Amino acid sequence: MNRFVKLSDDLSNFMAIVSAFILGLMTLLILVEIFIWNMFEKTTLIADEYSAYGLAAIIFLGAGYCLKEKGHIRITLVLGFLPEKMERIITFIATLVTTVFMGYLWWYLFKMVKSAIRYESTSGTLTHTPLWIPQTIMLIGAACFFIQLAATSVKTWAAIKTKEEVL
Amino acid sequence: METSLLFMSIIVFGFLFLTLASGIWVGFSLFIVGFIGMTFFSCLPAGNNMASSVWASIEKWEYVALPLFILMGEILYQSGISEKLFKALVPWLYRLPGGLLLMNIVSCTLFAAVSGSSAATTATVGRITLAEFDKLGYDRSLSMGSLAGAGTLGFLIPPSLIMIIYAILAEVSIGKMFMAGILPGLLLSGIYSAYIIYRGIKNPDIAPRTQESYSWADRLIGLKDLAPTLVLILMVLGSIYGGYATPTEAAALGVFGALIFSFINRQMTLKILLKCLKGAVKTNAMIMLIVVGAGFLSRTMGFLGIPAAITQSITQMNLSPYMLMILLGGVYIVLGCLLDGFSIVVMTLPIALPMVTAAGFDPIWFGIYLILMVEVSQITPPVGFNLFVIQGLTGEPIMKIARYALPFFFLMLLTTTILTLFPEIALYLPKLMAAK
Repeated sequence: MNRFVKLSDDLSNFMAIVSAFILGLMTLLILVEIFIWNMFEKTTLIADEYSAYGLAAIIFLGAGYCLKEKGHIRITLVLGFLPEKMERIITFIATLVTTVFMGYLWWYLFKMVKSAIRYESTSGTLTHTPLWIPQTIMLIGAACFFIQLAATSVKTWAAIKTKEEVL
Repeated sequence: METSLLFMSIIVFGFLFLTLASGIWVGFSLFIVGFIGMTFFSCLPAGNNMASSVWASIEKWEYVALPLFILMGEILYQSGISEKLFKALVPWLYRLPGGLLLMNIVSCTLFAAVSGSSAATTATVGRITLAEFDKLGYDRSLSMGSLAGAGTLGFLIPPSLIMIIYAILAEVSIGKMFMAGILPGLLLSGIYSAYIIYRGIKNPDIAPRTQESYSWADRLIGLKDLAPTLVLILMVLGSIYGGYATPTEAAALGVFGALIFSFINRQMTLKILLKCLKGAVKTNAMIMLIVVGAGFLSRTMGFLGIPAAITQSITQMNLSPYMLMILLGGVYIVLGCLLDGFSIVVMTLPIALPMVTAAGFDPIWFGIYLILMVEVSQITPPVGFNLFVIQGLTGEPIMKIARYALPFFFLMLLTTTILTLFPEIALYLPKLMAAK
């Protein structure tokens, strides 16, 4: 179990670095667009579209890291009124429900990407980018987020006994 | 409202309360409730709708401004720009009643014009001023309270992350929203300053005079330290106002400018840059998870006709527009005690906006009103992000900081009242921009 938690933490850290790199590229792409438009009245044609794909990618790729770093917002006000053990049990159930739900969402995101491949959907812009490419990156991010959620379920389960602060 | 619709609304809001109270992350709570609503009360396939809603929510060029402005804030936090601001402002403010306490207000106002969030503004300014005020023997209640209040300007004075979210969801121009925040931001800042000067005149002991003195030459020479902030404001806001750049492009320029200044100040290394990028990725994921969840819940509620029914019910009550805003204000203050600003905006907007526009209010004006309410939520306990930041800086208990911030809570309500009575304060600059 500990090994799974460690692996998922490492995966989230790695995906955060990948996301950081993508965010850097997005910034650079927009700056290049501004520069060549103002200097030569030329355009990259892809700055708007590809930076939006970049955003779509980093949301899920970075979500696991955000979870690991306790960055996602949850309301603990009501839980704070409960006895400690009850609070930990509810926290575990809430995490488990979220994990199952993320798995369900991932399955439908997968089906969406499958349809994009089957129907050869493209962006409808000048680049005619096949939509499955950016959507697959999002799907990979969603899978990593799911794994981090599963690891968090394991952590909250263990925390019922160890009383460790995991969220 | 029809009985079946009323029943649906009760179930949906009941589940929302249940999921939020059980500690499920806000973004997922919104998703789950949207899923329950769509599965049980419509014949639409919830899974497919959810997947398409996720893609539609995240693949938007306008949202790209969000991680870029967050990144700019992260870099500025590391850049040493706030130390320079402090140095430049001291000679100008030290002799006024209230003394350097005004520094919290003026620094936050200026820093808010380059930063998109209240927490970043509070943290960046607070880490310089609070320690300095303690050394000078200033009144702690006012030094913390004024920082809590002034830090909230980060959301009202553009660029503002919440304004970006609001503008996209309300389908108004981000640039116009940004311009609409400037005068109300300056008004709030002016009211805060007047309060501190008043307290300083009434009781000079709150801010004992320093022994140091500064000449006019010191003041003028110090202005060069203001240059980085002013150049960034000009780059970001000037380019949007002048129509030279979209908010997303202005954000990229802001990142570039912030990087240059942090290199000049020798505060930037590759390791720090990676830390800034990872920090931006984390905050972006936090905000966007809520936005994506709210997008799906809003889609479900739209299918079920809940917002339209609530709007109709409120309209039938024949409330005067002012009464409506007072009622909404009350609801937002309560919500603000329990939720963070982003959740408040994305969760209430699908219901509140149709109601408010039906009552004749301008959506841009309402955006500013809502952001003022979000600012209030930043300093109301038990969930108030500015309070958390100041707790992190000082180690004081949340309730104590909230008590210190109470006068500033009332000053925000005063500003909201003035803005409601004189909506032109928010609408003047956007109109001027449109007329260009």
